[in-house]
Amino acid sequence: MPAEQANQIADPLKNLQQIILSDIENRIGQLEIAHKKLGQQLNNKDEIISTLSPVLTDLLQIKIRDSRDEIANALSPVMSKAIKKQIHDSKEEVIDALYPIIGRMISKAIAEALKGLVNSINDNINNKYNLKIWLQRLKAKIFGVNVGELIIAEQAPFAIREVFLIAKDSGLLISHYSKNISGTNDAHIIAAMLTAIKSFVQDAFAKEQTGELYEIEYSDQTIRIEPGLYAYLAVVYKGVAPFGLNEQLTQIQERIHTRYSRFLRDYQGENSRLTKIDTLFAEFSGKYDKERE
Amino acid sequence: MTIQINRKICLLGMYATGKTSLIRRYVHNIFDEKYLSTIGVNVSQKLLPPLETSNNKIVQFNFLIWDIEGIDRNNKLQKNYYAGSSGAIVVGDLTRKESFEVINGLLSDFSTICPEALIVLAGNKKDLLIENTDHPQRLKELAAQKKADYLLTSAKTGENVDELFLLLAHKIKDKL
Repeated sequence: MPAEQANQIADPLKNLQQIILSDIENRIGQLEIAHKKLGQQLNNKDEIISTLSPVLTDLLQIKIRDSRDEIANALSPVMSKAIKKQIHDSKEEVIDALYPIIGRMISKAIAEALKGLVNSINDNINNKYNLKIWLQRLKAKIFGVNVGELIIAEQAPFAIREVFLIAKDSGLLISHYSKNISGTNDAHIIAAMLTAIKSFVQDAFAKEQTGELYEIEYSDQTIRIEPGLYAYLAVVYKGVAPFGLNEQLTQIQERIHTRYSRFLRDYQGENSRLTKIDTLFAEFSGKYDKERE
Repeated sequence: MTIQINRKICLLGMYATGKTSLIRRYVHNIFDEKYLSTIGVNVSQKLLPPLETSNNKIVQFNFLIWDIEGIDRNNKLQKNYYAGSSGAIVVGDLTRKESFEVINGLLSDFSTICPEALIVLAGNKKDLLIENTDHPQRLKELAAQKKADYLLTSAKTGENVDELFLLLAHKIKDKL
């Protein structure tokens, strides 16, 4: 077949091929563009967010409705941290939000406590033949206070937690009583640091006047300090001190200094001979426990 | 029977000589470069191994170690903290000559308040000691002058730290 004739036959075939394939090529081109765009979206954080955000809320709502426990389990490990962070970052807002609820709760608790206190005082005062009320009246007279004040003070919670007898200069712990059987692990360090704090306070205020540090308050606990010639007493208690506590401490301090004067003066860090002081402290603490029963 | 005896020990020296690091290494067996300062003193406690006295008694010291900050000789509070001490460890920095210059004054103040107390000197930061420096010699001279014992220590490696406190404990025990 001559070449010119062969070309005439091939052209229609080529035309047919073009007609069939051009549509496919177009579609492949469109798919490639779509694929590229999708790839870009997946690599771009902002794009992902803008794509997913319209459905995220709906998705969460559906998930919470259908699998409440599953969502709770998934979120619980981070919830407490998130709350802590929120409180740390926006204290004022959190206080504003909680104040109405907590305020009401505190008011209710105080009202309940006062109601109990009033009932207890009434019971005491109304019972004219109660020996205790007569003793309280006598006590009020001795301390020169109103009997009502005395009763209120004695109704308030009070407990001696620890008693320390500490060498005045060295800060060494001579004797220690703790209500907790295991006691304070760091009693020796507490005794030393308390002595340092006493020294610091005395030095800080010495320019204005000489004196002693008698009390340190922390939350609902108080450390009452009773000075002495060679050693001082530090009593840690919780609650409201009853009338006469300070006088009792002075008496104990005097008893200790009278009985152990030489030992305390020459104290060289040896405590084994002082078991009687531990007993004295235990009795003193126990006395208040009985009074409150 | 072992007799437990509580004793107050002061740790003195110029700032950054490694006093707190020595205590931390000795009491907690760790090395920490952070300095804890509250009211110019920090107290730690360490129960030492039992020791035998010359009259065959067994004693065990419970050291209350007062890490006292500052070298200001006019500071009354600092001196108040010395009261009732049985001994002192005075620390110098083997990399800083000036840290040894203040020791004389510190010891003089300390001995006025606690004349019976026993002294041990420490040249700390042995791990950073540069060869041919005369700081150890200075420490040796100071120790001889004060009739005190001395040790070269490293709070970082722990070298001679236990030995330092034990040395003071032995001196106190010998005086019982």
